[in-house]
Amino acid sequence: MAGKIIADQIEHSTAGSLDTQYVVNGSAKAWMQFDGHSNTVNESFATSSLTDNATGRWNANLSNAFTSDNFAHNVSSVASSYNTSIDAGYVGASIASLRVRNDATTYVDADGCVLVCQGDLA
Amino acid sequence: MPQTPEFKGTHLFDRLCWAKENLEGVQSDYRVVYEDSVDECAKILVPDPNWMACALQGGILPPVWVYHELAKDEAQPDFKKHTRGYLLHQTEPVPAMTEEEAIEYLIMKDCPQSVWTNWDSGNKPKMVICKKQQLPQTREWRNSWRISDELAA
Repeated sequence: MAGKIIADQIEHSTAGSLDTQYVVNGSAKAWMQFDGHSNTVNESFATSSLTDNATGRWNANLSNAFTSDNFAHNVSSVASSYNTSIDAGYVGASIASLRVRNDATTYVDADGCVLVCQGDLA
Repeated sequence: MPQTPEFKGTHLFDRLCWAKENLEGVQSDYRVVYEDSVDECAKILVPDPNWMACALQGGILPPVWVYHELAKDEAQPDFKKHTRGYLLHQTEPVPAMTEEEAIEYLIMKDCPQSVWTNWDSGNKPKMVICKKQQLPQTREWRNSWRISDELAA
């Protein structure tokens, strides 16, 4: 590809240096932001689709599988009218799941749902 | 529309990075409704706009059989880690698809194989492709959504 720089380290003039492996290993490999009420994917990277499983339960299907289902998987959501608890389920090496519950532990839909996946790609 | 670089042996992640930078997302109106368990409500598959842009552009996504091979590996009882990830990166990418072909590809990638291989073999279809306007307009009773019996052949 054009513009390729191969380097093992980058150095700032005063702040020190950093191995580029930190950048490679620390970057998000896939992410998605969607509206859980309308099931609209607003923005994303490296995801192929969103599965609406039921109220408050979704899977993001990934374009590039991770090496295993032990990838790091961060989730969040916005719900203006109630407190929510959010959890991430592990379904497989190419699926990230998000579940949202309210105070009564009932699954609820939410706005601004976000999934971010980090780890080693297959 | 920008020309896709000749991605031969290029890591899929790099191909997706190129697509993210160069292609506009395409929001599809198609939805795939499927039932993979008699005890659960219908599930709705929503195409990702950036993925759809890749499918329409061509030269970026791997053939769908690559995902099936990885799924086979993952289904093995002694599976620990993928060792054939190179299939995603080294297999020649598929050419441009129409939106309908892209939906067929997506079904074969992201719906359970048990659904799409015999979607029409029971008393009623297990899977329906529709437009999003055909889904219920509110999510009230979402957990009761099922594919209509009226669609039975």
